[in-house]
Amino acid sequence: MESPLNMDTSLSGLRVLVVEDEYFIATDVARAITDAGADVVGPVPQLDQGLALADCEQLDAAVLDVHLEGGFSYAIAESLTRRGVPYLLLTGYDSWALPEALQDAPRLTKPIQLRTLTAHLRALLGDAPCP
Amino acid sequence: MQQQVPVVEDGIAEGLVSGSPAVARLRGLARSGASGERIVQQAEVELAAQRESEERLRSAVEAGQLALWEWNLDSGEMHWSDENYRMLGYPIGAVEPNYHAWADRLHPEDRAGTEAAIRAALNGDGKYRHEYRILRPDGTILWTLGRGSFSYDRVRRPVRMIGAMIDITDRRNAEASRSMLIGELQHRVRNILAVVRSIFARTVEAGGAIDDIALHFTGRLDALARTHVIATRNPGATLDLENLLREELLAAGFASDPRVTLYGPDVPLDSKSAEIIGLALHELTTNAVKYGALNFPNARIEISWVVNLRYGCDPQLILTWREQGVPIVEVLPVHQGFGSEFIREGLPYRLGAETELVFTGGGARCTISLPLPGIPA
Repeated sequence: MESPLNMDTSLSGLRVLVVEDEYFIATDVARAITDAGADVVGPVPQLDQGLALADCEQLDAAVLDVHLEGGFSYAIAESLTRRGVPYLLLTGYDSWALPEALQDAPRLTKPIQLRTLTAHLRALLGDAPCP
Repeated sequence: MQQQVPVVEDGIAEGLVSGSPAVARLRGLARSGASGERIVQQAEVELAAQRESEERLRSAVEAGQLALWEWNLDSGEMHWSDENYRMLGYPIGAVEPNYHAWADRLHPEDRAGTEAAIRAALNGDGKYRHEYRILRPDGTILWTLGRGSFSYDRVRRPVRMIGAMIDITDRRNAEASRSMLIGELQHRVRNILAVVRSIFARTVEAGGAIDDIALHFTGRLDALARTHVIATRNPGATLDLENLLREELLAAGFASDPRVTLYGPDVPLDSKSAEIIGLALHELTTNAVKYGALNFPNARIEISWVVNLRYGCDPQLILTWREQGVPIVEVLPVHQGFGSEFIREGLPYRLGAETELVFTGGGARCTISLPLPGIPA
């Protein structure tokens, strides 16, 4: 089986939402996604800002911090699921501390390896053709 | 395992009473030819002793807050102690105690599991032990531990169950808050590691000699560590803005420098705000030491702050950092580097602050205004 590291990590032409309240992590994630050729929607630090973008923006994927200032990002995940947008969770929590609805969602545990972030995003999008 | 199952002979009541020492004593009296009056007298003594013993048991059960039950599986009848009614949220004696009256009070999420535990005990070794929630009509939820055992007749037909239930809500709550704390700690540690790595990468990116990079990085790490030490010493504690500033100046070696004036009211900052503002103040101080007012003998820094109370909004902190008397220098690399980016972009992102940072002829000028949600207006 091919490891995510060896897979195609290009995200060119895609639009990826980033919701993360820690400034340094948000900018690192945004930069890694931009470097892989995608457009970043955000990054935004707050739940309501993330929700507004998840509801209205045209998106191909999303990267969500689970634990945001002012609450967990479940509502954003729900909205993305409804719209069929795949998402990757970033969390400092182990799965036992996560709510049941999010325990099976693909996730990266902090501190994340930026090199693998885009590979995971690529894998998340499966065989979707890259424009 | 079969031999451990209690067996009741010839029905419960008769079996127990006919074997009791009191009855044996009365039979002995009768056999010895004692008078009817003597036997009645002895029976009264035995009854009084039994009442006393029952009263003692009842008091102990009440004091221990034990909810007792006895269940006759043939008739379906139950007997509950007063505490059992209370725990289930029934006025004492208000319902006929039976299986359904108990099962109706089980938390919907725990009902299937609890009934399965009883069935498993019934069909297994007769011992029942299960923790479950009770949902009372007033909406309160009680965690309980139920323990009991079944008795069987000779053909291993269950005839009776007897058991007790205790309130373990406090223990359960303590366990839940401990798990939450561990989760929170994991989250904090992993987050701070990610932040530290990011700060390191940016410090290296900004370039310079390796010694300078090391110095910048350890300075930033120390600034983070200072706020963390204070914030984690007392969880939920606040950090005073002036203390934060003084700690920063002390670390830079300018604890009581006559060029620096501080002026403002007490402002308690939560640990998140303190971490971010602490790092921003560190960047301003480092810049002042290297290129600004703390690098020139006749320059000054005035750091002042006010808190504006605004009707219907969070109070607003406005902090002004003003250097004077710094000779004009060209714009230095650091001005476009980590510190200025953090003040211009990181503070608005993380704290919803508005910031302004300019390097003028007299030195750096920085204004930071941010909402203070934790502080009552």
